[in-house]
Amino acid sequence: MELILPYLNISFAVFLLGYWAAIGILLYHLKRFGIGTHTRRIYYLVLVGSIILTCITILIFIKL
Amino acid sequence: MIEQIPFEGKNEGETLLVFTRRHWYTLFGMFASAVFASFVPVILIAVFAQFILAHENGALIFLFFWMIYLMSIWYVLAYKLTMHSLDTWIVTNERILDIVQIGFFNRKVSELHLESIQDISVNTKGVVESYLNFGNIEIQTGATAQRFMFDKVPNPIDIKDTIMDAAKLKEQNVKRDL
Repeated sequence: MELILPYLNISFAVFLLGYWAAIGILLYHLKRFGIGTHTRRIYYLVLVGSIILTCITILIFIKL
Repeated sequence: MIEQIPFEGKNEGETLLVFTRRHWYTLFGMFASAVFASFVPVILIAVFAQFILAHENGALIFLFFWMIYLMSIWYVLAYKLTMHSLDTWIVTNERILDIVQIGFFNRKVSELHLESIQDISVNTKGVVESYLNFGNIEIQTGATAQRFMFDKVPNPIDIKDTIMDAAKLKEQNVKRDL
């Protein structure tokens, strides 16, 4: 585990960066082009869901 | 009368008559697949439990990769939801707007004036579409062979009637102005 941990650190950081860049693009589209309250609800759902999943994953990663 | 939601390019005095998206059922298959795919790793636990638990951090490592997997599924789900909510059809007392998000930074907005409508047909195909009351609406315009398509929208008959009424009213107004 000690052997792969540095690589895992970098891979996880790159994954998180890419993930949030992609989520950011989604949120931008919802905010910029969304019409009505439905898209606003989807916006917050995607944002909150992504934050929760990221937090849980980071917590598990810290415990590794 | 529906709520007057503001949208890009709305003219002054333009009244919103219909604002719709695809029926929720079009997302059902994707949601069901996502829920099923989320729990596929449970099968892996059942099969490889002794290997996973053999390592001191085995359970945590497994959980970590499961979370990465869940984040990926969440992203796919969010993408589909975004595309679903950005594809909209708007009918006003002046025109019809067909707004389609094809992908990221790829958006198509088509506009059809009510005067150009020649005929409208509603197509409801299959048991699910009939039972849940959704289907396609095809609008044929006079000038070109181009067709306007409302794809799998709820209450297609009501929408068709609203468009026909608005087109008739528009035609009467145009004649009166002449």
